[in-house]
Amino acid sequence: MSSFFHKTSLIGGLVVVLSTVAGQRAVADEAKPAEAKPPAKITYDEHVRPIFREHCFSCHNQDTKKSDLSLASFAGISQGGSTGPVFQPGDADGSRLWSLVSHAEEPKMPPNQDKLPAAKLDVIKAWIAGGALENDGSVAKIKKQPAINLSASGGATKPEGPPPMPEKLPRQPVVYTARAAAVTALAASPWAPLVAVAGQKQISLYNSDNAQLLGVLAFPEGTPHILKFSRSGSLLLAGGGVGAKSGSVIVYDVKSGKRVFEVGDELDVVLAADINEDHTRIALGGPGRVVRIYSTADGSLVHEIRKHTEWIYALEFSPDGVLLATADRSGGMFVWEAETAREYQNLAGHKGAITDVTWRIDSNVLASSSEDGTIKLWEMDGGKEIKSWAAHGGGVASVEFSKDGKLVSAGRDRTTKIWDGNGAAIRELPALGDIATEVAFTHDAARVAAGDWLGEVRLSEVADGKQVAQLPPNPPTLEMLVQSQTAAAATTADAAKKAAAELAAAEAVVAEKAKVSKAAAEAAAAAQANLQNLLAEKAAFDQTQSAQASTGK
Amino acid sequence: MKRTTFHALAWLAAMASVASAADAPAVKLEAFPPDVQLTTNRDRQKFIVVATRGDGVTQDVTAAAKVTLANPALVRMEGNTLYPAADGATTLALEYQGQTVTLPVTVKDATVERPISFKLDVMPVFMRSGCNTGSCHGAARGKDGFNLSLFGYDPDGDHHRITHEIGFRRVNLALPRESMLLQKPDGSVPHTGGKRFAPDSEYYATVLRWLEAGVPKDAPEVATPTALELYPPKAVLEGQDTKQQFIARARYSDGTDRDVTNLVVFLTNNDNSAPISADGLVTAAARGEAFIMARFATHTVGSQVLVLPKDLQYAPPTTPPANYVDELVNAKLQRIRVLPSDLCSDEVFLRRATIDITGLLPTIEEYQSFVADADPAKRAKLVDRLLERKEFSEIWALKWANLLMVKTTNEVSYKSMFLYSNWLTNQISSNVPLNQMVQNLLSANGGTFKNPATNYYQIERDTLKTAENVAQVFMGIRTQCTQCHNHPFDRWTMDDYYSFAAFFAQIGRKQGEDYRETIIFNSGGGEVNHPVGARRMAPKFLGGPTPDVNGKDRREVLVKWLASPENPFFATSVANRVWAHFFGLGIVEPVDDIRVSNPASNPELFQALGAKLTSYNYDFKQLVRDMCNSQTYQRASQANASNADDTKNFSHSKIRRIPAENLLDCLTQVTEIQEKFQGLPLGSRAVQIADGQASNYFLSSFGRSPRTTACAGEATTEPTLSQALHMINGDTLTRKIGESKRLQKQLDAGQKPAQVVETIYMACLSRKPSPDEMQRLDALLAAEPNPRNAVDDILWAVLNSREFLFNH
Repeated sequence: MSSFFHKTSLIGGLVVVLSTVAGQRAVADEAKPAEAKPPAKITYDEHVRPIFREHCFSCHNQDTKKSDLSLASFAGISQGGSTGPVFQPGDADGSRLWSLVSHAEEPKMPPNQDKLPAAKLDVIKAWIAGGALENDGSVAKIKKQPAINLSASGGATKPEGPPPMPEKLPRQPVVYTARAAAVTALAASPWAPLVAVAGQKQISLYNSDNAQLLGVLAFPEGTPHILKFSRSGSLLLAGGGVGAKSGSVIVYDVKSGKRVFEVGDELDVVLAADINEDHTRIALGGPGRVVRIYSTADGSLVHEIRKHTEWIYALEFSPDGVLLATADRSGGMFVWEAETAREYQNLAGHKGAITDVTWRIDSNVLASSSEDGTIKLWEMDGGKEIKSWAAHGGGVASVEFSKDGKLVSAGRDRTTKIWDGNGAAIRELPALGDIATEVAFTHDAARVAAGDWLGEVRLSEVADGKQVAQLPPNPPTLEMLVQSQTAAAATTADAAKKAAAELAAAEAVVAEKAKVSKAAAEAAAAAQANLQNLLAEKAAFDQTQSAQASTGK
Repeated sequence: MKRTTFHALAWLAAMASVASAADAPAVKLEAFPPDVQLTTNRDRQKFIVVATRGDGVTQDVTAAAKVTLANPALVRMEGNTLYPAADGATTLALEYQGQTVTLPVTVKDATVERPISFKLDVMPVFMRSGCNTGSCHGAARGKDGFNLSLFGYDPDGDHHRITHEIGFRRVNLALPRESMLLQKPDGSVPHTGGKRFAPDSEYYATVLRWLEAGVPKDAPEVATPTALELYPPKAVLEGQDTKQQFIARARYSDGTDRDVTNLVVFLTNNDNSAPISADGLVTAAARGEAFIMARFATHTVGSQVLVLPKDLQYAPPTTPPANYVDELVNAKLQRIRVLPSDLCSDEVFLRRATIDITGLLPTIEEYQSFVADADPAKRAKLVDRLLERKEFSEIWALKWANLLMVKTTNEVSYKSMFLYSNWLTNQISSNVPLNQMVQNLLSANGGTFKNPATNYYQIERDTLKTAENVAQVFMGIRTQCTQCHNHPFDRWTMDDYYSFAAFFAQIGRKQGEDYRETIIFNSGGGEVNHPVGARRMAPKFLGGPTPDVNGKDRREVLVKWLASPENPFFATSVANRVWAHFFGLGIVEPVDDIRVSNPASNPELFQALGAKLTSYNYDFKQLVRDMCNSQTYQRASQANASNADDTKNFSHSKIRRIPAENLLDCLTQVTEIQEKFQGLPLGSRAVQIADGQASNYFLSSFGRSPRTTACAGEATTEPTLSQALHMINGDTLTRKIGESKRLQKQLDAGQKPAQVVETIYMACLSRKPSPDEMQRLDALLAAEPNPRNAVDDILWAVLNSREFLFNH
């Protein structure tokens, strides 16, 4: 298992700083034995004992044993002193020996003297970090430390600082396919406007506010069948693989897109997986019917749960990290103590395959969806079914709690439905083109992303059900974007040209019309003048006639 | 001198082989298919050329024939496959050894693309690749979670299961090549069923094309395959490793056809003689006959293939046939180069015919007069005499009672059963034609006491089972498979099954005045629905048209067709049952499993007997006369060198154990110790037992039919250890011999033990002891002081002999 655990080095400031030598060692031993040269071992007998002999033996020899500590033999130093063990193999900073000789803590050692020379300190530190080996034949027993900060909060409260969003991830897809396959997984960040959509050998990250593609994460392991953001929103878990062949879980750092963990070596795809709230455990399951829980610290297998009789279809850690719910294809569902993997509840009731499970933010209620067409709510004190309703005819494919306790579901009837916490329908979104397979609330529960069998992922407003955008699992390549943009630009230029031409033509027409109108106006004026003349002439004539008539009397 | 002879013989043999081998000129040249239609650019057609020699041997001369296309612009030819090039009509001339045959070729829509179809293109791939067989995804619960309908009876359901049942898993529309539907069968991911086809195969290409098209569903009006043709229709291969390519063509409801040689499933019923490759190439192996079958969609068709050794010396017999039976049997024997055995002796014939026709042994008097008779027509006259005896009708009443499951049950009281049995015996003994009898039986209405024929619907009350029984008993067809899926090896579909069952959906039953009596009537209501999609099925004759049943008693409509010449299965299947009684083996065997994949060993004879029965107005007595008067029936049971291996072409008589009831009657006859059967007076014979429930140890252990199903195989004559032990030690024989006064009477009358022994032989074996036997018996008789003991022991020994137990 450990060969699948890559301590991907130096992710931001999160990595516990190990000495270079030790860091290389770990990588060399566990990840790439063929590539890096094995460094010389730093051992007690060869390197450290001479230093101790020179500086410490006066007090801490096997006879004097000041504070019950003898540094004169490996057995002695391993035994520790009156305050307990003096070193922690692999963890210099956590070792009392190092704290004292580096003068980080009191009593500084050697007492009342300057620190040991830096070169010697480095040797001691490297020795501890390298596993505090006795001699050349010793094997390190390093209790590995997680590679990232574990101070993630529970799911209910927003982590400090701005919610993580991808920063400058490549937008070039790993694979471009003209047609999208059925949507296998969708997830939305709990705190950021970020939606992850599973595709072929890749995961597309979209901004759910503007539907912009933010980046594409490679998943060369196959097809992701499950996507989950960690409760803090800083990590994205993807489980999947190649059907009937291989399966594993990859955890990415959302900001950098780098791989943080890789666990699992299944013989079929991983269909269900989750990472717990403090990022110390990853649980996964699939057609193998076994739920495996790994430690993120060293990639070791911590527990195997062999209770399920069918394919594991869904699992999720409770937001507080205390419980783990797992569900299978024949309707079996259990809740386990996450730390011990002891059975806590057996939730029997579904008549068909359970397709999804989701926890309410307070970790007290679990919702499950099933091919039997129902969504059921379960309380965690007694494991009772507290609510069950027919949600989607033919079967429910996916269900998710929002942080404010609403539910969204999708199913074989092609619809997406939003429910209140008691199962009362709030809204039904227009049907998709084929059976719906996945659904997720965005971080603010204002929008819903829903995917179907045809590969369409629709982003819709919860408030009015209107479709806002499509989030394709098969985004176009950059070349295609360039091409389409160029084409668009060309079209625009053409349009401008055409408009100008049209304008010119119109102007010509106007000029012509002006000419005509002027001529007409002139003609009209002439006619008017003519008329005036005639009228005047007539008036004059009339006058003459009336004058002649009066004189002729 | 000897050496020279040897050489001369060898040379002669070599000459003979040359003369009979491939150099013999072909007398007939045929090309298949008889016409070529190429429609759309995806179409193509393979052709084959077959030459037939004067002795009937066929040769695949496709490669050797000279091919000429009248207009090469229309058709592109690759090997023996034709592809469309341009629209038009032309001809394809094929010439071999001076003979020519011409095929018309038409090309239509030569540049038009044929759209991919799930039902017509993809489903056949599943069938050909074995995906939907019962041992794989066709199983009722599927395999590894993936279920297809068995042999594809539900294509719409299969489409759903492949595409939508489990979302993305089986089909990947984005990257079709990465669909599990392709990755499993091409072996790129682990598959329990192994690799089914390669990525460069046509099957892969077809499925990929469908995936690339977005897994479209067919329009409702998509064409359906209406017929399947398999070429050549028959082949006679000479010599091991001779090859013959078979091709198959499907015809569709839209008038088009396709070369489906690469899509049919080829099967052979005899791998030792004619194994066939997946692509339809038969390679001759051991001498024998085989039936090559091709299966496509719901159609199964077959061709007969004979494999003969090279250089076989064979001169057909010259004896003129006695009647049509001999003509047809001899024709088949000649085709397979087998010589029939000689005729049996008068003694053997007398015993054989008497047991077969009457179920009893010839008496000593009959034996003596028959042997002494010098009339050349005495065998025919004997048959006529025997057919007039009432025992003849009793045997057939018993046979029908077995098939109709006449026995008392919770539903059928002893009284109804008894009335029913009497009715049946009356029908047969009063010579009611079989078609009339079946009509009387199946259309019967009324009380089970008043009209005992109605008991047919009282014994079996389930609609579907009734329909199954009717098909099996009166048509010889087993439709049981098609209740749940289309018949894998025959033409019957689920549609056929449920629409045939619809004839029996309106049988009303109510109690009569007597609580034991049920009144059967036409209720006029009730339908049968198809389990897939719940369609209401209109009554349709099995393999026949859909009649108008509006306002009519459906059963009356059915029987008018069922027991009539319009039903091609009735007369042939009944005649085959009669044949099986007299020859120990049906022409189709089992007699009630007539199907494409279980062909008649002699189809012409099979048809001829059916036609004769029809022309005799369904009087099967006439048919029996034809059979018993044939030389085929009268052949000796001893095989000759030529026919020793023949088991199904009636080249020699088959030795058969006498059926249970007849055997007990024969024992009674020779010992004169009568049996008492429940409900019958002392002295009744076992064939007269009415109730299938009543039996005794002897009858049960010798395989009397328990009458629990309508299967012909319920009455068995298989030998068992308990039979042997019962004959040796059981109370039946011990009591009969011990109590028998017959031998004592003879001794008392002053007959010598040797004379008594002779009568034992004549009574039991219809012959006198041979001098050799007599010599040894004399020694035994001399050693035993008590003659009664001696003759009893000899009787015991004779009755335990195989010669007595078997009809030979």
